[in-house]
Amino acid sequence: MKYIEKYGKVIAMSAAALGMTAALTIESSLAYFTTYVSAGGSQVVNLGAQTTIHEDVSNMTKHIQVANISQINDCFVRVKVFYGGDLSIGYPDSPDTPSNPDWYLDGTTDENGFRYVYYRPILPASPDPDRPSLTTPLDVKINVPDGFDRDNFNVVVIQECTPVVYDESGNATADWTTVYSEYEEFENHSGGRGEEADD
Amino acid sequence: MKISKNMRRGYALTLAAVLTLPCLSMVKTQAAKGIDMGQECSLIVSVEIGSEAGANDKYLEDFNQMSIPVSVYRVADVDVTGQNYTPDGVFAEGDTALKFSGIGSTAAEWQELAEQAEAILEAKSPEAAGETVVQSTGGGTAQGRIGGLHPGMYLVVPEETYNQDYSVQYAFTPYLTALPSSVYALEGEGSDDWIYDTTIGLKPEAVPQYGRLNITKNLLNYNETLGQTSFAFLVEGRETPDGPVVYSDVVSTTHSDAGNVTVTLDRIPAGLTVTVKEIYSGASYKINGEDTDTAEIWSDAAVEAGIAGVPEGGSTVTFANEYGGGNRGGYGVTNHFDSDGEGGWTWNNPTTPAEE
Repeated sequence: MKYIEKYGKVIAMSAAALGMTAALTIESSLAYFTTYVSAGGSQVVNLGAQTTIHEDVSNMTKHIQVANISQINDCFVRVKVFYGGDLSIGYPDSPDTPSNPDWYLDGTTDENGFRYVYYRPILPASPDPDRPSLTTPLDVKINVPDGFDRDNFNVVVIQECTPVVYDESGNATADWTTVYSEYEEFENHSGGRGEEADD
Repeated sequence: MKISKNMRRGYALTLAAVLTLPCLSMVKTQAAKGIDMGQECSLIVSVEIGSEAGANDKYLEDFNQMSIPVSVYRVADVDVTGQNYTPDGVFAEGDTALKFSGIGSTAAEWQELAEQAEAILEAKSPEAAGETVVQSTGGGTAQGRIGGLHPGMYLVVPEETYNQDYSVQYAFTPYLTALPSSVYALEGEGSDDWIYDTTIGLKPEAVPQYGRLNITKNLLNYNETLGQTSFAFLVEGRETPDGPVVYSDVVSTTHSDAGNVTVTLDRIPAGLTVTVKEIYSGASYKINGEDTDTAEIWSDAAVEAGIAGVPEGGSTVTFANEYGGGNRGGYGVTNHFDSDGEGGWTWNNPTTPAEE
């Protein structure tokens, strides 16, 4: 991890900031010391949350599950499904509401017409990597219109995770918008730009 | 050239309407006098691209510019009555010899015999009795002439031919025609005088061609802590810049390092102009540059032929992204569905099963 060597000072300064901050996370602070991405201001850096996606299909309904493979970070999860303009998606019992109450739509649509579906519970860390914690299934029905004359199509499913953070009252929250300002320094000094990046 | 599916269907329907099998009525011929076996015949192979078929401008445009090689093979002798045919040359050999006895007047029977003759042709590659190239002659007609043909039965074999930009292939069904012929033989009524200079029409079928689009994602840097990341693209195709979207699909790339990853979408109708938009830029990454690009879809045949202006390997669009400072991990998968041909879809699972 040559990045750690390069940014040792930045990481050390950020570690000091970590000690002063009022908002603390639980076990995930360990992840902080393993990352090469620096923290800005007094924010707590929560990195290391990693998830994997698992799917099945029956009757043109996708059954999507997300696993938390991090051994230390609890996280929140959300999913977005992308599809071509000829298709549409819905849910087994409703066009707009996931059947599984663990999942919900936040009501906003991006500029391209797609929406995130959020997993309500915290997806806990998985101390045993052989037994990762899993979301309950999100069932998404793919609607292929009558007269659809293509012989193939794609549906893209993405999942995101964000580490659990706690507010001043100790409530677990999901922050889907945090951007660390000092990452630019990482970018400017990394020397890794596209194809020229070191392996 | 931009050709919609409806237009392509229109081609086939229009052509089917103006063409008939010359042999259909042949067996009805009751010639008043015999064939002059010493007189040479000629065959004009024609495509009518004016009047009826000319209503389709795209069809007209294609055939005004195309050259269609046509060969004819003499498959049988004919007797002086014009009623009896005897297989000739390789078409008379062995168990595969053509059998004219018992052939009725239905198109299906003659078409089946033509297919048998084509199979023999492919297996034994006899020398053609004559060749021509059908080209536009102006006035809404494309045609070519083959002279010096002795009376007999001929298999007419036009070559499969692409239009100028290889977006449409015109395929032809080989068929049998008798020389000489008569108005009665061709139309089932009228004069039964033998016509030694005969004109027949081609029976092309417009076969739409498909091409591919390469989408290259250049990830300028990579946050190892967050793990692999994905980017999703919406590809929409139009026949004209302001026309409706006639093709729409999505695809994604997934990265576990900085650098390039290329994904290819195939089976895109050739001739379309596609707009590619990055609609998802990773959980913690951002676009570097424009998020939208356009490309022309060239058919695989055009790429293989290496015609001028066609990029090697097909059209490619490239996007660049960089880490955007977020702390969110996650990635995606492209689920590919193929038609099972029976109204259902076969899913190729890109993930491993969940193990609870």
